[in-house]
Amino acid sequence: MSADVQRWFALGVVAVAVAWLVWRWWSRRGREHEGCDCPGARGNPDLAKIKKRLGRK
Amino acid sequence: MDLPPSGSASTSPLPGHFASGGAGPAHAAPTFALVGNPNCGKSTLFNALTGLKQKVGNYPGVTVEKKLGECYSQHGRAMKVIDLPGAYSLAARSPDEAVMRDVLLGRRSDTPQPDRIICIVDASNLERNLYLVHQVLDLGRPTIVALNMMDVAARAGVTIDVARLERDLGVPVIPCEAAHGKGLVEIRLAMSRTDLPLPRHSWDIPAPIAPAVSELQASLVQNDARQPLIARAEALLLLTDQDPLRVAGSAPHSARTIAILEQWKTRWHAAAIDWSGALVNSRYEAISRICGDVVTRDSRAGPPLSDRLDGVVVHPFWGWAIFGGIMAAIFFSIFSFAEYPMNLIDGGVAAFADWVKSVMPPGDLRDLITDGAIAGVGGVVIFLPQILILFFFIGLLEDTGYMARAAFIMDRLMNKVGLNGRSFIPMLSSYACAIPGVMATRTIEDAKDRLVTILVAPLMSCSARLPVYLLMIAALLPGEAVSTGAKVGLMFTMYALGTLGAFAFAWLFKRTLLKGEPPLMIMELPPYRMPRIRDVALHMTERAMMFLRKAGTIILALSIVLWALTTYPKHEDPEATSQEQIAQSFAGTAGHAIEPVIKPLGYDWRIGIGLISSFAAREVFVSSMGVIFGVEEVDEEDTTPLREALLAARWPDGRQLFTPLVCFSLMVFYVFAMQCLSTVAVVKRETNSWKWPLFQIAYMTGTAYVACLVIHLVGRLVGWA
Repeated sequence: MSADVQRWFALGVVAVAVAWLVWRWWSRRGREHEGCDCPGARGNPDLAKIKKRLGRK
Repeated sequence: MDLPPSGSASTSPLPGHFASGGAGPAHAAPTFALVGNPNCGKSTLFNALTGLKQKVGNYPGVTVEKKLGECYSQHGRAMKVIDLPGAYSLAARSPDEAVMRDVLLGRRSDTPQPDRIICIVDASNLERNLYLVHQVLDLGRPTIVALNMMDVAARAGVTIDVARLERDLGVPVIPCEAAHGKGLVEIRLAMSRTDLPLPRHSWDIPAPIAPAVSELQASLVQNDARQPLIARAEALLLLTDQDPLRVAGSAPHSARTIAILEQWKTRWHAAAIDWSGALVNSRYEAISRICGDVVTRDSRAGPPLSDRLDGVVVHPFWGWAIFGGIMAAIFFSIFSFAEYPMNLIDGGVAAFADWVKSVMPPGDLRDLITDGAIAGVGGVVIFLPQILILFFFIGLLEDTGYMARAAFIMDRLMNKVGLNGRSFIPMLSSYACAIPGVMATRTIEDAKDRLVTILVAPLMSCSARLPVYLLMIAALLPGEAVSTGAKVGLMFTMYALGTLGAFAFAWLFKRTLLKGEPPLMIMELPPYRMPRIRDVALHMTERAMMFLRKAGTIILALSIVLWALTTYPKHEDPEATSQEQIAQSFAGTAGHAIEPVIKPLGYDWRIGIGLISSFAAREVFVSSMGVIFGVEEVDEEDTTPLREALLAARWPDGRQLFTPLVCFSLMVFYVFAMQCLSTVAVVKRETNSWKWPLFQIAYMTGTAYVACLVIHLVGRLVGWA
């Protein structure tokens, strides 16, 4: 894989990462009370299990 | 409509459809409200009844969770269930309790008044739990009493005559153990009844108070459009609580009602009658009589084990000694047990990076993978064993019931800064993550105390700071020869610093911005119990999955972005050193821009990049160091462990960058700085304005800066560079 091809792939990955971060921030606005992703965040543990079972975030 | 006679609280028939205990037209699904004291198993029963058919939202206008669910009667008829916040009485003090009272009194336009009520009672604490039940029965709604935790009562030597209790209260009483699924069928059958009896309990309202109850009740019906029994319940609340505005909540009373209340208060004051105490005492006398009839205690049982243990655990001296010993043991475990798995992860990450370098030709994509993704994520994931150990012990302490004792011990300290121990529970939660800690402040009654707790809770060192502390400790105290005790001591110092900082600022805020008297704390100490290792292990696994998910998503994405910012734009000279390359990249330019501000702290622009990126998530500091120093490394063949790369980092003049002083100062910076945007967002939501989160960012980050400046200046003065 040439250096130029690698560079374009790398820039593509970076663009995807930026887009994902922006989408994540936008979609979670106003829902911060549902908990962050820190391992210490608790929320309602029973509901968290229920949501996981339902396949919902 | 006839009003119930004064001097007794026996209920009069409700209008129309309630006479048969029904819930309105046959096709309408009845709505049950679950009420009860905190920790009585209410949510456990709610989950057991509704299963997956539940929705969680928020009551409009307040940050209180609204939990609605659905279950089915024995005839297949849908029934709605609302899980209301726990409370000890209808005399609401906190936002949670106010919502419970308002829903029961039908004050909320977003939530219809429940048709029927299920009171969940902790059978091992019947007398205290019956106070709320007694008030709820005054509402005259069809009520079921679920006598929960019968197993706990039995172990404590308590026997309850259920039939007698049913007779005394005049409502069905169902013994159950919600946690073990016992009694649920009987509860569902009771809920299915269309002939639920109305409460028939009675109690003696003191003679001086009785006429006031009638007069207020009549005024509330005529001038405030209340239903008769709701009016009676409100009249009793007005005559129990010193603050009528608190009782009114979102439904202000008419001027006539207030005038009647004030007239009576003036009369009682002149006659030296304690009007609010009189009603409470009278209610408790009635409850005592009931408990005397129905409760039998096994005299051989002796004081419960929990009480005997608490004699030591909350002792003014031994309590603190035990607390300190437990904390020391936890930190010791974090360092000693995690070493082997950490080395395994470290080796695995390095091997993976080396393998990628060996199979891919040099180029930006290879660099992105090794110096961006692997370096960034690997730098954080290495701390997984230590985080697991921390959460294992936190889960263990919570499961045994010790955490409530820690809050009780802290009450003595909290009082000195103007708060009470109830504020320590959110602060204790903040040791794991500030977000649930800030949300837990909803249980704090006083608005100023709540705000002070919200402002200081993020000072407690959360789990996200742990990777930063551990990395700095590894850099500050490198080598196998350093005793674990030294590392434990340093870690303990950081946690203690955050805690003391929280107390200091709470003291300051309570005396300046948010002045107020320290409130009285009444707190329930749940009984001790053997930890359920399965539950603790489950929580540990959940935390591990959350940590790895965060590492694999946000931290991965941020590491990739950070790599790009340290790589582009490329230096014109292809022979430029990696330092020169980073210096003129986007991140380098930003880092150089803030370097004048952070140089007095002993930090350079590379640390500056880490500080800026930490505002997304604190652990990203570790990732950013991994990316920056991974990009910089000279040896392209082997991946250098991050702590070694940090120790090898130099200023342009050759001086070591990560000196012991700088490592210590960085830890202190992370103790105080407000760097979590998620916490800022939650604080904004909980305080309904941007003023307080912005103030929080300013005071915390300002304190971090000043503290680190002082440390750097004093450190250099005493020769500790």
